[in-house]
Amino acid sequence: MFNEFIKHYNIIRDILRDCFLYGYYSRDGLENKRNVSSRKVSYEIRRIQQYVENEYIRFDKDGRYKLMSLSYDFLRHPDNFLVSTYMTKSFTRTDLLTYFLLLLFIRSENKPCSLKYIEDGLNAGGLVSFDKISSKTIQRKLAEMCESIGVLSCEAVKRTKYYSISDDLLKTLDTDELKELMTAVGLYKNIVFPVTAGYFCQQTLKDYLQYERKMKYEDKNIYNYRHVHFHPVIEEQVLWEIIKAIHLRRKIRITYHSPKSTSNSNNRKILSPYKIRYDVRHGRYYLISFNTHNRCIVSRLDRLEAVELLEELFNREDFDEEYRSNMLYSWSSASLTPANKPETVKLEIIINEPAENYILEKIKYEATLGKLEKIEAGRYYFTLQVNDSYEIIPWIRSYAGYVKVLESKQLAEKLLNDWKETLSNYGIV
Amino acid sequence: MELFNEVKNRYFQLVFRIINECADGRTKTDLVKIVHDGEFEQKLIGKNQQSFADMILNKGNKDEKLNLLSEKEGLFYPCIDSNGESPLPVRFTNLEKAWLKALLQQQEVKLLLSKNTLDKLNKELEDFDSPIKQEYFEMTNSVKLPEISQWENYEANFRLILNALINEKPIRYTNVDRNGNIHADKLALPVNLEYSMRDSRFRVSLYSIDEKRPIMANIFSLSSVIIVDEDIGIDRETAKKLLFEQKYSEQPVILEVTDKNTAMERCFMCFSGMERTARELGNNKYEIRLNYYLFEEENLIQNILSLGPYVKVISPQRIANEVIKRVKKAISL
Repeated sequence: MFNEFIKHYNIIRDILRDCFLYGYYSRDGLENKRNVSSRKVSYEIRRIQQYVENEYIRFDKDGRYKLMSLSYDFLRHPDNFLVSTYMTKSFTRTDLLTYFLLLLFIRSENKPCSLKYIEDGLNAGGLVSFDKISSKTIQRKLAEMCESIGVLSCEAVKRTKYYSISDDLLKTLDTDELKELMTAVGLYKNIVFPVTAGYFCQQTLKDYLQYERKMKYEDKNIYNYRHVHFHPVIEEQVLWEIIKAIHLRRKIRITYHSPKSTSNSNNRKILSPYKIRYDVRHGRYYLISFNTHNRCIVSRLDRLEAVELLEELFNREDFDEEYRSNMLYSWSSASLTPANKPETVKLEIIINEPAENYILEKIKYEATLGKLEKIEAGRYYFTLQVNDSYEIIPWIRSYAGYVKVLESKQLAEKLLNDWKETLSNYGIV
Repeated sequence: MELFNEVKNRYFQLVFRIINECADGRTKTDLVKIVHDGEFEQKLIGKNQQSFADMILNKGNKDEKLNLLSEKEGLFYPCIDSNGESPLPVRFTNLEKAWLKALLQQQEVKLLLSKNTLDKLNKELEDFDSPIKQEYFEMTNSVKLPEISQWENYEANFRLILNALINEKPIRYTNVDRNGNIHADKLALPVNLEYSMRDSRFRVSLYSIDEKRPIMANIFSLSSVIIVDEDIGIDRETAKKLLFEQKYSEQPVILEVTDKNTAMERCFMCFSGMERTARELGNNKYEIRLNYYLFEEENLIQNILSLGPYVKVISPQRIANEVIKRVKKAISL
């Protein structure tokens, strides 16, 4: 009905991520980065401006360039504004009319209705003109509303299907219980993945209170969150497909994002999806799956262009041990490469006790598989196994001044060189 | 159901609301206002320059009218009479049911939902097959704090604080801080319940009436918590504003980032919850300005250090000096 909407979320996914995470790209910059035409970049930026509320969009000038960025403050803005980008799927006039007319009609009849009964009813009321909307279209929409969307239910009597409004699963809840549920949904909408579904659920519940129970509900915004990143929501369309595949034990074909060569067959792999790992610190999803040779494959979701569910099934339990052995010592996403063993990292922790005991506590709770050993007051050894010691470099760096790497020598050397380079950046030799 | 589905389109949702709002008849002015409040700031224009409000109000030729509403004596009603019920039913979609079922599996949801509510919802959803299962996810780079030992005390505190927040009431409490000091019978207004995804802990943000400043407390370390009816001279919104004003740094941190080893990406991911701007300096270098809360300074310094030699603090000098001090110490160990 309107050109502003999009058929596939992928259309805005990359540009949205660039605008949100980076924000320093001009239109020309985005055009070069994504290897797409400036017209497309302008189009998608205009869409994003429309989809996202103004308070999160800012424009800065860099010389002659205008830079758009999306930004928020975790304390002031507990609601993920990027969720609104999922409320933009295009629809036709027929989609809109059939959906609402069917709901209105079946609700008003208050009894199971067959396709013929519905058609006759809509026709008699002059609501549907069958030269514009065919019987097949209505039948397809009814099936979609039952099987996929779930707002209708269907029962077959002999060969005729009868459609009703789905059961009200909140019917047994009283006012206080509904308020409790609202409070719970309000909290967990940012925590349980995919969070987009949580936001949708909250809106449906608000509508339910207002229209089915005639209750007024005031959202008091009593929650705020730490380490809840907003940007992973951009990958939730892909995440949702993967979760369904894991659950249904269906193999998938994934296509990696490759703006410059879309026809490369290396970008398409058939895999058995096993688990999603979410790096809480950076807000990054990884898919852990196994290829046809049972080799563990790690894929970042923001690098996946598409996920296709295949008919071929796999047995998830076949990979339980494989996953454990590959990922037990993974800090975030690094899997154990074939024929390799986990590396041992040994640190010495030097603190002023008791004032800096909290450093010790933090290290212990952040690396729970590590072993702590006291040498003397204020000096400890901390030993841990990791698949790839380079993966924990940022973590070790964050304790600069408190930890010294004893093992491995290469790791110690790498960190020492990093520190020397850091000081030289500040002009200190 | 797809996550990206037209029934969740903002305008689909708007039509849904409009039809239900018209159950008892609405004037054209009412409808124009509902459309105005619900649509994009830049209004959508269809074919033949028709606005969305025009379509809803059945203006234009017969192909352009939606005819989902009909007009009687100046009032608009749904085109099909609902016999006293709300015209459109409100039902969860399959996607929402899947999420709701996953919500019920969360360990701490019992703090928010009574057993009765949980039992009822579990019963309603028992035959629904949700693909969202905790066993399909693993959280990494997280913090695993020890289990809360006195769960009953924690549960009671949690419920009471939640209640105080909902009803905007102050509390009196006793707290033991990290150093073992006891703060007895303190008066404070709960401002927010805070959840950290990194350590899966709830904390409470309070405005201390005794000390006239915002504070943060672990829910499990509180005792003797009671809701009181005392006049404290401040409401939650004002307390929140004070938190934002008093704790927000006046000057941003300015960083110079060299984009090696995806440093920019890691930098933005670490600081994604902070208001920020960035610009290109040339030669693969970028400048990032971050606005931060003063109580986040230690985390900020740790994050800067974690990014290694690719990030340099330009200002404030105080933070640059702290980074230099720690790096010098790291070399000397």
